[in-house]
Amino acid sequence: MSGFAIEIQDLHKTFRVGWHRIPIRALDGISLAVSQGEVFGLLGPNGAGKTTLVKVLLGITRPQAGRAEVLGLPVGNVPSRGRMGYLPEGHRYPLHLTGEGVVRWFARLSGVRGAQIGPRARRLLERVGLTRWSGVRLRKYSKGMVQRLGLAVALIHEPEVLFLDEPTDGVDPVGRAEIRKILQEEKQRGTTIFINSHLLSEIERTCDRVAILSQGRILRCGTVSDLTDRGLDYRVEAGTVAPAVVEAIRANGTPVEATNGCLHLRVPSLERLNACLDSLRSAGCLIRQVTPERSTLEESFIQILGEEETRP
Amino acid sequence: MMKLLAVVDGTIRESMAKFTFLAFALMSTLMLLVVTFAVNLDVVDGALAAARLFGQDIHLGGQRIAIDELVSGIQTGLAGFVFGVGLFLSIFATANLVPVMLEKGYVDLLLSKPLSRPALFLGRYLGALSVVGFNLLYLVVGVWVVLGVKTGIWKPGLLKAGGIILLTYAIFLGFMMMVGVFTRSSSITIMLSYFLFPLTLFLFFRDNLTVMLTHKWAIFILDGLYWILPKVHEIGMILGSLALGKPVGSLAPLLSSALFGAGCLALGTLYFTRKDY
Repeated sequence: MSGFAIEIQDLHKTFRVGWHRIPIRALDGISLAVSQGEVFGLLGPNGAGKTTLVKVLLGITRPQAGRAEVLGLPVGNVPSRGRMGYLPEGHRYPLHLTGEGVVRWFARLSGVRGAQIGPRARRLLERVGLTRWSGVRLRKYSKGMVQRLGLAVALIHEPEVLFLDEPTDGVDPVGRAEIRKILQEEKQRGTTIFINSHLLSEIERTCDRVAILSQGRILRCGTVSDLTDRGLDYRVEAGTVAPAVVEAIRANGTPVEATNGCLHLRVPSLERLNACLDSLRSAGCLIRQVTPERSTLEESFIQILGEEETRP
Repeated sequence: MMKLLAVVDGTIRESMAKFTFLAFALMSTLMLLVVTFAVNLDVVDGALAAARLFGQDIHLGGQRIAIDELVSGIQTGLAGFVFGVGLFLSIFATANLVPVMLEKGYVDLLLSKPLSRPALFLGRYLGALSVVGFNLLYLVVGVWVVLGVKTGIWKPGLLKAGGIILLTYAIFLGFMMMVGVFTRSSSITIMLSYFLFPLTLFLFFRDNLTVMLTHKWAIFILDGLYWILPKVHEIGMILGSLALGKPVGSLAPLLSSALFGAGCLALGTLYFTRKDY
């Protein structure tokens, strides 16, 4: 046992489209490992290959080269799909069924035993906040409600690995918070969660680790703080600082900007930071707070993609 | 097996939710009600003495009509009607079966389930066949029982004809499944399925045409198409013979047509199994 729920090595997938069979490289040598019980986020612009990767992991699409395993079994293994849950982007359910009918039908397709189906379906519909709507046909559902129902369908067979493609798409802020709560509960249960999303703030709040995918390649992978860390940039709150003090710090070779009683310092080492703080203190400044400066995930995402585009 | 049954059940429910099948069931019910309550037959010494439709006497012209011949006639007429109209409606109602399944967002969900692709495809096929089978059973067995009770004649012709109609639908369904999975289009599936009817009729009369053809390859193609495609006209004749209780000459057209349906289903399954979605 490797301890990884998902293991991918050098995965390639090229689609051929149109009459001229023009090749579109969707996955270009992806290698990745997701630990059991981890919440992993996959970010990328449209057409980056996020959905293709998930489809390969679920056996819906076949790779041309490389190796991929989910729960220690090669992708495409039919019985292992019973241990995975999936919420696709833009999912569609039979409109003639009620919400409970949909959950029950997919429970049967997932191999849930008869006696367990009813209680589980009712419990899940309650968790996603659809109890009141469980007997209503799907054609009456709003987009957000269908999204919640999709989550219930993905969870009905208590999967060990959960793949979610844009799980909060069309869901209002309250619904998003509820979905986040459910994902936290699933994480506590030990479920490995793999999320594709454009909503970077959601990913930032939910995921343990994140990978940025572009043109079928992983550009960066790490924890959210790894990706948002800007090195030794600090924000120092020190009330009013005399311009002469700021000039003195700058004269020492430390780039510094003063705005609204805050100093933004870029230092080469912690020793230099402390030397700067000493200068401030000796000038009589009262230091209230020193915090490392971080980018938002969105800023990092845009920066990483920008770097990739400018690469020769 | 449980998952396969879930696919069959899902397909049945999906089909039953359609207006076409509701109309089909209503027509069957109406026909049963007419045969039960509106048709009155007085039988004396094995012959029809008087007949009334909606309370109005039907003039028999002083002829002696044997009741078993009358029953055979009614059964054959009904079999012919269901063979034409029933098949037409069934094809129309189930043509979107595969295109709907292949819609983005639905096929992904189905393929992510622990069910093999051939089982999923076959489940869909069996589901559609079951719905049409139920409807057919309801109408054919219903009319057969009512006629039997009213006349005391229990000829199995109509039941046999019902079996042939279901088999013919099964052949067309195999073709529709194949076209559906290749084109993902309900309208193309309907058009091609309906086109098979006149095409096979044309091929049945190909001998009249081949005398005018000079190229051997053209005759070869026509003959080839005749043997490959289902033989709807000949199946209709077999159906008529069975309904009338007459001996059937050869079952070869039926068997070769069944082979066509099975081949289409196998080809569709193979394509569905290999395709990326």
